[in-house]
Amino acid sequence: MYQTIHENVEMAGVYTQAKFVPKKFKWKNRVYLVQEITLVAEVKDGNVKKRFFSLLSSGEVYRLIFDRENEKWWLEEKWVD
Amino acid sequence: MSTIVHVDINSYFATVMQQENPKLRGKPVGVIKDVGRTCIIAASKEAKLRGVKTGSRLQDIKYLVPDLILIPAAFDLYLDLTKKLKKIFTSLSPNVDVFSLDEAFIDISDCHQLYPDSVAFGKLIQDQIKKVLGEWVTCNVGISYTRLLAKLAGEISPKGSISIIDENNKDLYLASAGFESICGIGYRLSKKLKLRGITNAYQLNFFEYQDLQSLVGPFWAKELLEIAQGRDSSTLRQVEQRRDQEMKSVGRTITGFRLTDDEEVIKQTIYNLCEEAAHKVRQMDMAGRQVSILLTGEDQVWYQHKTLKYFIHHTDEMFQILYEGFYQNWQRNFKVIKFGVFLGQLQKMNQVPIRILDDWEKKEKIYQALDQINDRYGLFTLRPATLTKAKLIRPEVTGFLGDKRFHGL
Repeated sequence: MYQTIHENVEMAGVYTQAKFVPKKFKWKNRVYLVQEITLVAEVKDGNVKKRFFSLLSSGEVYRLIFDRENEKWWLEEKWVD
Repeated sequence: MSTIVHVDINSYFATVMQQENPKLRGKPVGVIKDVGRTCIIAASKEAKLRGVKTGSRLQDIKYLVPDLILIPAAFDLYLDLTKKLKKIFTSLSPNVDVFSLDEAFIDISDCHQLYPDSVAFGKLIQDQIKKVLGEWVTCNVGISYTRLLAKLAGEISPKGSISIIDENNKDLYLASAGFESICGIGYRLSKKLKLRGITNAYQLNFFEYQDLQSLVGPFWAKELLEIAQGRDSSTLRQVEQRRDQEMKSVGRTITGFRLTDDEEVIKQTIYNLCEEAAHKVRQMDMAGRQVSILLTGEDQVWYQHKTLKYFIHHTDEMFQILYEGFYQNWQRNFKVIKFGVFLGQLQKMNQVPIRILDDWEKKEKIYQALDQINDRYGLFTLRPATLTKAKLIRPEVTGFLGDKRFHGL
């Protein structure tokens, strides 16, 4: 099941073909390399747009959200077996 | 002759969860509405093979599939992915009708020069879906000359297949499919027909209109004879008719986790649902004059409705009619688990008579200001005192997608 985390993280990636592609993120002083982006979706809360990413890093699945309003990255959830 | 393509994503809700999380791929996954819910709303292919179905109760299947992995649904994700699907389809043909969150009809009748080979077109769709949504996402593609047959083709074919129904094999398909695979024939009608020994649509060809009329009435007698020939049922004929139609009603229902007798909870829930429904109507710049409320218990139902002489779209007005007008004048005699509110006979605001004899204009300005803030920062950013301490029920998308026009689908 997904465990709620909801903490800010730092994200690094590349812009390619007008899209941002996450490459690695830093959470609690540890760097997580992105193996695969498994899902990307645009979600809205009212007019607040957020970009949802599901990422695979070292075999673990993380759900991240980029808040386009205040340009912050949030690690929302992590899959726990 | 028309060429209609029906696309149906396989086990959509569960497949999306598996696409997102590789650890779930190849495993039996059951999607529930929320943590704590006990009804399966969607099952992965692997779970279906082991007997899990939509509507299965956890208590009934936990012994059958003890390794079933439960995942809460992610409706925001499904909605966005459906929008991506629509974008794929409209890039291929201008005539696209999104039928539900995971199904669409694509009419390529006018695109024969672009797509002379229907099967190749079906393969193109499948490849595009994998490219945009992910490798794990598969779909059935059914192709025929009516929506009914195109949908049937996909319905009874193996997962991930492309199937064609034409004049030569139409009767074979209609004879081999049960009524549950025919769009437009519900469970009750199907049961009635089975009592008369009619178990598939092809058999209907051997009945006269009068025979069917005495069994199912004049409307269904005519409908069934159309379906027997593979022609669209009224449900499917309305797909194209509804393409440019505005929504006629907005409703919001919710099933609670448990039966409740708590008056404060009942009041808060009704208000919450009124706010969501009325807000949606205001966002569409519409108003309605038929208000309804539905409360369901274990096996009891209470329903009231009223058609007003004027139009409304303010939450407090809707709540006043439903809660103060109906609910408080009812001697409730059961605990409630399901709630529903509806605002119907919707019209665009520029077609609605102006109300000048009450404080409607003043309220309209207040609601416009409220809506601006809630639209900007999220629904219920500003909320009334009634909901201050309530656990908020937030908007969600339904699989049926009755409000597809609202979502721009």
